[in-house]
Amino acid sequence: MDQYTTHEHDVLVIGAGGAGLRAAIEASAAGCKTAVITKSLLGKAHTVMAEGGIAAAMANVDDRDSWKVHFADTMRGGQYLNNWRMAELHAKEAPARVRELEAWGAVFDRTKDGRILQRNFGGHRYPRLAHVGDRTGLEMIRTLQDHGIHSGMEVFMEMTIIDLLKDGDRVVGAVGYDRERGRFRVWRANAVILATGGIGRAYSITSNSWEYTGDGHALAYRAGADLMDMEFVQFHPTGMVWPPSVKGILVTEGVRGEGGVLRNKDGKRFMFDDIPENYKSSTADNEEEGWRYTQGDKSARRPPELLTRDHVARCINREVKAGRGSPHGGVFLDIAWIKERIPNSVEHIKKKLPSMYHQFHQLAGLDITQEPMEVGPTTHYVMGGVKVEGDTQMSTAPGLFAAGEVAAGLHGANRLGGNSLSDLVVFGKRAGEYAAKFSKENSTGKVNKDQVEAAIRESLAPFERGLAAGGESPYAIQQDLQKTMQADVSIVRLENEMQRALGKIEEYKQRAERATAMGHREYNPGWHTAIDLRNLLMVSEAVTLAAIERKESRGAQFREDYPEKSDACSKFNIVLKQGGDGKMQLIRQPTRALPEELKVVVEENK
Amino acid sequence: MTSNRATKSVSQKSPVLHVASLERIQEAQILMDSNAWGLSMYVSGLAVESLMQAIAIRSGASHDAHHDLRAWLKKCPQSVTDVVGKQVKTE
Repeated sequence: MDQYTTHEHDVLVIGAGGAGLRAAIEASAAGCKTAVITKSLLGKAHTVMAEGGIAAAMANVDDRDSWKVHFADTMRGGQYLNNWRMAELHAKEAPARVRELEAWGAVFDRTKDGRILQRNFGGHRYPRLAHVGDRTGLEMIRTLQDHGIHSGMEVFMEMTIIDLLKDGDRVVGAVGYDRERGRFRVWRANAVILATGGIGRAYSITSNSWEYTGDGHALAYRAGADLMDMEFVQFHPTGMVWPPSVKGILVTEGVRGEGGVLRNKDGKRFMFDDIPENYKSSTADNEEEGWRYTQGDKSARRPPELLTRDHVARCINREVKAGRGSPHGGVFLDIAWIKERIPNSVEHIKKKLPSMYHQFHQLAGLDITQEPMEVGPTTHYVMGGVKVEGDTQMSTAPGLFAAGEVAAGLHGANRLGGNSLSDLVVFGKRAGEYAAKFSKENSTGKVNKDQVEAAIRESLAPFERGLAAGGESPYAIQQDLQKTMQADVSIVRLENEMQRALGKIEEYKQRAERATAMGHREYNPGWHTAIDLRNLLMVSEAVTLAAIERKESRGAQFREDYPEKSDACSKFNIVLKQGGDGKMQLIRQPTRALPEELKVVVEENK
Repeated sequence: MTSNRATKSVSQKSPVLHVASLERIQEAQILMDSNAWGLSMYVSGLAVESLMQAIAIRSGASHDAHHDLRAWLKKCPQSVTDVVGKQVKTE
């Protein structure tokens, strides 16, 4: 058997984005020997794609804001399928987490009187997003890294975890390998925190980088933990559509928050044509009012471009399908038009949206201060993930915790922009705190050598199969899977298409059994892809099965065959777990009723 | 149980990286033949990186530049730096 190195820690954090770093800081601060493992280099996390800001009801710009309004907005955005306890904790604790980031050195934009500036964003009633231009996620990661690196955590970069290790029901560590050389390693730990992010790479058009292959979801599932809400995948309405090499890269909602408008090829602001009933009272019905809102007029209602992401994405999809799209299959997002309203618009845009200016200038040769951008929907975020207990973030597998995108519950059927960054720090902290507590209260578990060897054996299997002997390129299987998910389990869903996708996923599973890695382990992306495949296939099956089971349209899920919300479907979350026969089992789990005091909060803020 | 290809030579030694480079070029060709242009370019890039590391490490450099090709180039002998620099200028 191949040799491996063993590391010993109290708390092991898998993933080094915002949630992972925040969890590691907390666990270290609690006196635990803590390790952070990242698939990529430290600092390269999807967190940096969150450009618009971090949502926290600090009421710096509009004193009508409070945790209650933030809670009500989050529940409404999630269509009331949220874990209400998480939504409550999130709304209450986000301001403290933002101030903590500031104390650790994050340099937020300022109001004229020196407080942290907050901007408008889709689904948030008041200006709530603390921001650093359009580089908020980057600043957050920089701050957490700077702070974390001095807290004594040990960082392992470019490592892939292939399996969690168990002692009975309890998770006691992980086995993985370093991606450059292919050496295997085992981490023994009293508690393990998953902070691995999302599943975007299951789709062909995505804002997610190559790392986001659903590793945490699949690790948890195989370790016996429950997954929840996997049908809810968020398609961000504005990704780049041209040139092809950058298709899917995010265009921040901040563009619309600063006054950017969506137009079809005829120049029409089509978002005014389709404002959902439950948002009509809070949405502007004319362009003038929408503009005033973006400029801070408290008496104005928000423009329809700032409606929830699922709705805006579907409206764009509709315009493109109806032949009213832009030349490269999107629609136009125009911020340059504000020159009609602001004398120094060029400088204003460059100051407010510096990353967007450079992104389009460098990648598309386009000056956004002068011309409209072309944008279209891109797979961005999964609301579903590991089912966790709201206060502690522990999964249904003892010793296994989850925080950030990999965890389910906070966002329900759809996430509001800006709530992802606050999610990371609020629940990253809680996961670190409770994992440290669990570590102190439980003795060290025993690592099963047979389990380690089986995991290593399975991960080396792709080298045993030759292309000539019927082996398959893992890249080809991954691309076919991505195309299937993009075509059949995407923004607009139909039962027969999703059933077809399920059949194809079964075929891909068989093909994955034949996936072949060429040569040796060093610098071998084909091998990495062969290993990623089983995670991608697992999460794709979970998304598809859950999407078929939810026979309604709600939040991020739009079923063309069930276009309305259903009362019956509002009463359960879909939970997925591995059955005794190894097959995926699906359970309709009744939602927990809101306590009276929170019902009042929701009613008061409708 | 596992093949030699899977288990041997997991080290930072120069010959291993050289072999990795040759393997990735071969893989890039297969990807190119199947019209997977983007992947082919990515894998070719890895081949270049592996080769630069092989040369740098053979010249006594430490393995600490991650994926910074400029840093690896600086660690290579002057003769390599001259050739690459000249090539870049020519293009």
